[in-house]
Amino acid sequence: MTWLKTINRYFWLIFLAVITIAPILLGVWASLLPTADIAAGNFMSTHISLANYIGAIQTTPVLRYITNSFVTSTLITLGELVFCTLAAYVFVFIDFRCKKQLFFVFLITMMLPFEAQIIPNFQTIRSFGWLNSYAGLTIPFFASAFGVFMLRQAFLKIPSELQEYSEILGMNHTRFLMGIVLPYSRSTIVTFVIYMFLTHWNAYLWPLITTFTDAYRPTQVGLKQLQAEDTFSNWGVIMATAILILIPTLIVLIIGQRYFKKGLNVGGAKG
Amino acid sequence: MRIQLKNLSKQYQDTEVLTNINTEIREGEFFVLVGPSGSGKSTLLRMIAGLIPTTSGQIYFDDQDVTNDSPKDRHLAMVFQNYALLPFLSVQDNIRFGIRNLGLSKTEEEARIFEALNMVHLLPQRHRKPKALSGGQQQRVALARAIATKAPLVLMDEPLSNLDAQLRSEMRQEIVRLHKEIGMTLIYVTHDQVEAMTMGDRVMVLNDRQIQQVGTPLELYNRPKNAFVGEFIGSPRMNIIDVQVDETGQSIQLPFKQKNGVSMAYHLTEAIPSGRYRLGIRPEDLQVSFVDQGSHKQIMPVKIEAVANLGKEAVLTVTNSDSNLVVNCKTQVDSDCRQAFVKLPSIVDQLHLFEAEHGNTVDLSDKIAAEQRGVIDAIS
Repeated sequence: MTWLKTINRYFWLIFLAVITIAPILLGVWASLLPTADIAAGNFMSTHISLANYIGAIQTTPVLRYITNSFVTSTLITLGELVFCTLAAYVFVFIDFRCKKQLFFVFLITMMLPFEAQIIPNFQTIRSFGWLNSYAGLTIPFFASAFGVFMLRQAFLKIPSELQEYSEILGMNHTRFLMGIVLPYSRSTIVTFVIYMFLTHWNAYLWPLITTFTDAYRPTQVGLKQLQAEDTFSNWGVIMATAILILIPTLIVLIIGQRYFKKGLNVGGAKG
Repeated sequence: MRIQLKNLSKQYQDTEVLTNINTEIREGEFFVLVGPSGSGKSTLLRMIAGLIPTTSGQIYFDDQDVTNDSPKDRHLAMVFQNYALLPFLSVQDNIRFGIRNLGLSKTEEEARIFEALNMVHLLPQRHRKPKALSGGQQQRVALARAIATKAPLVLMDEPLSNLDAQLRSEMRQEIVRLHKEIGMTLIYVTHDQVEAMTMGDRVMVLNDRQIQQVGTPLELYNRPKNAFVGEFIGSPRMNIIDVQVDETGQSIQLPFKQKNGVSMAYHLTEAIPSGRYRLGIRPEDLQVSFVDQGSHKQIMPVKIEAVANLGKEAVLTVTNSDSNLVVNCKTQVDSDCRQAFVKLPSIVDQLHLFEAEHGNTVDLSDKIAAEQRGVIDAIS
C-alpha cells in the first residue's frame, strides 16, 4: 500500500516537473542547433555547437541588456529595501495617530493595478526628463505597498520584549533597526531581495514604454527587440540570448535559496 | 539599591490600572510582586524600569528621583518571560550585546561573559545559538546576560512561566542562589503564589489596581489582611465560608450540622457587630477521620465528593448541609470512600474572619478571653 502510494506520488511529481521544465530544455536544445535546422523543423539534428552563443554575444547587444537589467534590478531592490524597511519600521514600532487608517490606505494602493498607474507615472517621469534613463527605470519602484506589507508582517513577529530590552540598553531607533530588527528578520529580508530582484529582472511593460535605445534597454525588452529587428529571425541566436538572460536569474535563485534556508533556520525563536 | 514608590498611579485613557502604590524595597532584597493576571504587576515593573511612563507619583532609587529618567539612566537589567534573546547571536554574543554599551575594556568584557556563563553553568554551550538550547538553558542565558551587566537592580518579569513544572522548581532554586551570591536588589513578578512564597524575602500582593498586602511569605500566609490574600496565598486554596454573626455579636454561626443535626457555631468572648461575614479556613487546618467518634462539638460528618490523591497526601472535596469544603488529608485515601468526619480547628490563628463586603480581616485574637487565648469553642 505504502509503496503504491510512493510510486503514485513520484509519478505525478516527475510528470509535473517534466511539463514545467520542458520549454526550458527545448530552448536549451534549440539554442545549440543551427538556425537552418530549426527553420527546417529538423530538431533531431546532430549539428550541435555553441556557435549561436558566440553569435549572440558578438552580433547582439545582449551583454548590454544584461548589464542594464542588472543595474536597474539592483538599484530598485536596494531602494525598495531602504524605503520599505523604514516605512514598515514606522508602522510597527512607532505609535502615531491614524496609524491603522494610513496603513489601510497603503494597502489600497496594492489593489490598484500597475497598468492603471502607467500613464500618470509616464507623465511624471517625462516632465522630470527621466525618459530613457536609469532614473526613470528605477525611481518609480523605490516604494511599494507590497514590500512595506511584507516587511511589516515580519517586524510584527519581533517580540515586544526585544524593543523593551533595546530601550533598557539605551539603543536609539537606528541602532534598534540595524542591530536587532533587520538581523531578526533576515529570512524575510532575503526572500524580499530575491523576490524584488526577479520581479524587476522580468519587468517588461514599463521599460518597453520608457526606453528608446539599447543603452538603457533591459533584457526582456531587448529580447523582443531582437526578434523584431532580425528580418529573417535568427531563432538559434534568439534562443541563445534567451538562455543567457536566464543565467543571472538562476544564479540569484541558487545563491538566494541557500541563504533563504539558513535564514529560515535562525529566524524563529521559541516562545 | 533601595527603591521607594510614592503614590504611584497609572491610567490608560479612562481606565485606571494602578492606584496609589506606596512601598519601599530594601537594598539587596528579593522582592516579589504577585497577583492574578490583569492586576497591574507587569505594568508596575515596567514603570520601575522606565519603559512605561507614570501618570502620577514618584519613583526613587536611593533617594534620587528617577521618575522621568530613561530606562538606560536607571542602570538596571531585566529578564523577560520569553527570554528576549537575539536568535541570530551565539550565547556569548548575546551576553556581549548586553554589556557593549557599558564602555568596558575587551578583557573586562570577556571576563564578565566568562564569569556570568560560569555562574549559570553554560560555559560549554557558549558558542551555540539560543535555538539549540532547551527552554531552561535559554532562560539561564537571559539570567547570565542580566548578571554580566552587574546592575545593582535586576527586574524579572515572570521568567519561569514558559518552563515545565520540574524545570521551574529547579530554576527557582537557581535564581535564589544567584541572588544570594550576587546580592543585588531583585524585583520579581509572578502570578504563581508558590514562586512568591518560596523565593521572596518579602512579597507584595497586587489585585484590583491596589496593594493588598506587603510582607514576608509567612506573614501573608498566617495573617492575611483580607479575603483575597487569604485565598490567593496557599494551595489548595483557603475555604471561604459564608457565616452569620447573631444579634449577641458573640456567636459565629456556621452552615454546618453535627451528627445529631445541631448547627455549629464558634463563640467569642467579646462581641463584634452582628451580620454577614466570611470565614476562611485553610484545607490543612481541617482534620479528617474515617472513624465515627460519636458526637463532638467540633466534629461533623461529611460526604466525600471527590478525592485527589497526591501520594503522600490527598485533597478531598467534601460537603455538609450543601456547603462545600476542601480538606487536606495527611494520608492516602481510598477513592471509593464516601463518608468521613471533619474536625473544625479550635485555634484562633487557624480562623480567618473577613468582612462580608470588603473582605477585610476582622482580628479575632483580642476577642478571646486571656486565659482562653489560642483556643475558641465550637459548640452546639
